[in-house]
Amino acid sequence: MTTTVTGLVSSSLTQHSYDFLSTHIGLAVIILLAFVMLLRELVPIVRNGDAPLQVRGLDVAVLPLLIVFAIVVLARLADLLV
Amino acid sequence: MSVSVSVTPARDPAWRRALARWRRAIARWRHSALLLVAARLVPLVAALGLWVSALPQIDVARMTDMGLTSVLPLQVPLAVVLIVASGAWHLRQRKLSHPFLALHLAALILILYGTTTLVEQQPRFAATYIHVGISEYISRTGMVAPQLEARFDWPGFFILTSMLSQVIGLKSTMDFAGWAPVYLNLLYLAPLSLIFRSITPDPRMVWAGLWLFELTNWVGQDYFSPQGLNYFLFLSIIGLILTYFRTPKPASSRVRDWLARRRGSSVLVGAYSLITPEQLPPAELPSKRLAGLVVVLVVVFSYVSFSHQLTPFFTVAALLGLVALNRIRLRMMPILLGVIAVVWVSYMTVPFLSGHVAQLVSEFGQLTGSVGANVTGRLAGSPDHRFVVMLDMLFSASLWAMAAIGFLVRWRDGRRDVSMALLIASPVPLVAAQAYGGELVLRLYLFTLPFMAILAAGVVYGRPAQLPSRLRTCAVIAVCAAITMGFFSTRYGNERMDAMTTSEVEGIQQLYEIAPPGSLLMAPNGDLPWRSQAFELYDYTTPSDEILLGTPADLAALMKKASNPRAYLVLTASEEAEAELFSGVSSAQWDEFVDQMRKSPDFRLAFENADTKIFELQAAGAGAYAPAATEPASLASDRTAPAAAGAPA
Repeated sequence: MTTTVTGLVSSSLTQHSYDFLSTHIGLAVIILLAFVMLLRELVPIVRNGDAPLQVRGLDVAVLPLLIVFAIVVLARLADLLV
Repeated sequence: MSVSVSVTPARDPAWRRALARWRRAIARWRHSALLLVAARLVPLVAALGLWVSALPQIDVARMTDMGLTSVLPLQVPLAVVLIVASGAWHLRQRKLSHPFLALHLAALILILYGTTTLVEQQPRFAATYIHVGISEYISRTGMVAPQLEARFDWPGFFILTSMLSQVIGLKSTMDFAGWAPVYLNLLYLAPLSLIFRSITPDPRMVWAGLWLFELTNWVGQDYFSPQGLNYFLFLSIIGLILTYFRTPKPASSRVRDWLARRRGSSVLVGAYSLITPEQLPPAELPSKRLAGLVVVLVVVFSYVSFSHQLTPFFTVAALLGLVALNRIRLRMMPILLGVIAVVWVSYMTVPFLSGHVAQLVSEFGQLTGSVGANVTGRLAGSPDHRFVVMLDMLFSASLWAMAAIGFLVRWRDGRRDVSMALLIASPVPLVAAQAYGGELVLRLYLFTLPFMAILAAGVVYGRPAQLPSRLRTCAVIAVCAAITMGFFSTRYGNERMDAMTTSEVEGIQQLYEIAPPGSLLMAPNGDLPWRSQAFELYDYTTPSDEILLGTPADLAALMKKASNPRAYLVLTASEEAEAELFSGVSSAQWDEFVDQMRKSPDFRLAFENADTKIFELQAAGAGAYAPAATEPASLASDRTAPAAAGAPA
């Protein structure tokens, strides 16, 4: 079976504090998300609307990043509430 | 030889005669053109003359709870009506003179927004002094201090003004705080005209929309504040997106085909066509410039996110509304901007969130509570003040009604201003998300005002093919006269407490002379010109106007609970006005409290002038005076939520 939960992933999740994860990995995800979304807006403009494949590819990348972003933000809020 | 001699003298006089004729004609034309211009400017000059002659008659010290209108001579609204009438009459001309209309608009802004600056002794609003104090702190220390004050969590405006004052070489940002309403309203005109021109190419409607915006911007958020500047950025973002990225044909054939396959397809397709009408084609720019503009928009929005807590969410809501019906082609933009806004709040405002997140979460979705805090909660205080609040509501409702009529007039004429309707409707759900200290409805009015103003202008100027008749122009002037009276009553209805006197400012200067750093400075409410300096050196607290109804002994006990070596109570005229306007504390009750304080053995009158009294608590806190603590511990507990202290209106 192929899995994305490798030894590296599990060790980085268990060995680092929540704060480290949310500020380092969380921020990296957010920067990537912002970059992809900006690209998603720029590509059709620069290509005069003639790049449906590239746009669709970027759309596919945005959704999982958005889900991770929502989890990171909710986790931070929950942490503040606790 | 002989030929040339005979021809030249014959040609010269004819040429000269023709030239002389032309010169005379040009002189006549210039003469008459100048006369014409001068004649057209007579109403404007007369209006300015009326206004200037009225200024010395305005005695702000005699204001009642009705605000500035209680001391405003009739010449001032008359001057406004004269300018409006001159402008409205000019809008009947087939060929418009834009400089002429611009001059009128500038004069209108000067009268509407500059009158208080000229007749009052000091800049208005207690919040102005706090904002100056935050800028001063940043200039002095080069740092922000979120642990001192919630506004430091959104420091963009304060950093910018601090830099600006240093670049210009001013001692304090106070030097340009007083005129903020005038220059901010002038600044708003450029993005407003971009927004208005996105729905109509008719300059008459654009000019009328601009005039109406200035006549109805009563909320008073255009003072020296993050909101004032960020509102300009909000308008710029919306204006640029509507100008360059609107979709001329928003209806999607895929959606229409999908609807056509559903039950009741004819109704669905008909409704879809109604809400996705065509719009004017966008302004053209080369694709590289458009791409650059997108990057600029993201950068500007990032600045907005770190400058103000509300504007980013209103911007995202507005863009979401436009994207929902495909009115703009930047479909990912609202999500991208939303991510930026949420990232700033969740990562960079932790000091504020840690103290308020439970309250923010509990308020989320409480529509009834939010509306109650924003509408019925404001109907309190003295009878005159309640009357002013009623006028505020009536004034706002009238504009909403005018906008609805304008929308319908243009709809009947085949012009579907769906984008403007979306921009008005899309921020409404934010009221359910937050009460914002009872201020969100005011902000809702502010953020929907431009779109309401242009739709309301459509009532008369919505049909570009027709020049407005004399009758309609007279009706416009009459309505504008009523709006002018409403404007002065609503915008300056709380002027008694918003105006700060020189005595008060001098009194506060004395307070900083008397009170050693580390002292507790208390005032019943926050309506006084303090915190414009030494922001971090004192503990500031404003319990509530209820302390005015208790005894000095109760107050002394409250002040002694704090561990500060010294404690001072500051009473000013503007605080008295606020207590009367909002809490119903009468002038007699105020005077009685002051008398009790004078006689109390717990207090000593440390300073007094016409508008300020400073009482020092005898034997405060730990007793012996301790030298300055740079960051008193109890300050953290006195952090004011921006929702509560953000705006004065």
